[in-house]
Amino acid sequence: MGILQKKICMIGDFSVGKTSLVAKFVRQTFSDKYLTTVGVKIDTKLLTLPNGNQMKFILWDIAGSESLTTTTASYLRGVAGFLLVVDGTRLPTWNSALNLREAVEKQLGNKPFVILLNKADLQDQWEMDEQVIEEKTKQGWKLLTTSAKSGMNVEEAFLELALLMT
Amino acid sequence: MTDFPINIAKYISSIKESGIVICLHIDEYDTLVGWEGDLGYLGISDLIINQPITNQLGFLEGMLPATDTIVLRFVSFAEGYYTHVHIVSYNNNTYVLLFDATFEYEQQQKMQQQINDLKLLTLYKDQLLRALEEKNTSIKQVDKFKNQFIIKKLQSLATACKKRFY
Repeated sequence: MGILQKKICMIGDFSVGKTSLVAKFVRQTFSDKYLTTVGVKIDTKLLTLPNGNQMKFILWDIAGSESLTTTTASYLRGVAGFLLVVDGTRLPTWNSALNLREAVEKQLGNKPFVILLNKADLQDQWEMDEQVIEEKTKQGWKLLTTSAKSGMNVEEAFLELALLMT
Repeated sequence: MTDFPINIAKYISSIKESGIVICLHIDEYDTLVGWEGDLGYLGISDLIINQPITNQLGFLEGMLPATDTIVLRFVSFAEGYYTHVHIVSYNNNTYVLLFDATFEYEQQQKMQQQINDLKLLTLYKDQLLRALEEKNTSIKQVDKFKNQFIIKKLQSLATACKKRFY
């Protein structure tokens, strides 16, 4: 049996850490320097699932945006699932994520997704409301607190999405 | 090398992109029929004819078969290479046209970086101002309690003095 190939999109507001999460997941690297993504960067990674099967992720790291533009929408064609990234130290990025999720659902229907509350290493600047997170978890949404810097929950986030797609 | 339909040539001359670098011909089964152009220029190592294209160029996963024309701006599938991708459907076949966008990307990236840096600085300034306001409010509150305490003490001292001297 051939390896299953899935297109995954990283979406979220600018500077939330989408590129850093991909860099950590694919190359095990991290840089504190913020370099804006323009357009889309594509990477691949072979993932081994708990049942031993393998899945090839085609990762589309899309330029940050607070809403779904026509350009962003064109990148989403054929997506199998997506990671919605939030900067835990900037509350407005949570609202952007909610808007994006709603827009993606309108455009593509229900697709598996996981919300990543990134920059967990900056806990002293954390702005996320635990009650809101709990509420979403109760609704059945998958949320993970991640840190591209420390690597916390990075592998787990991609694996979680893979499991939602199987 | 392959022959491309006149309509595809017309499409290429009708759009405003700078020089085309690669043109791929893909059949209705997503198999690469032929290609023309300089693969190395865009960081593509090799392509094999009569093999599924999505196994060779992962970014086409989910994009085929194209039913209408799709334009993807600033796509990077190899470090340091940027392209505008046009996916054109013609006679049950798909033509993928890759245009070099590296120079344009560099200009765009510089501009977007400045915009995003400015947005972040404004946000941090707002966060600091908010924190400063909160501190100011708590200092005022402490001052108020302090003053109330001093007044009470002075009043009780005055009462004690009155009792002693009168």
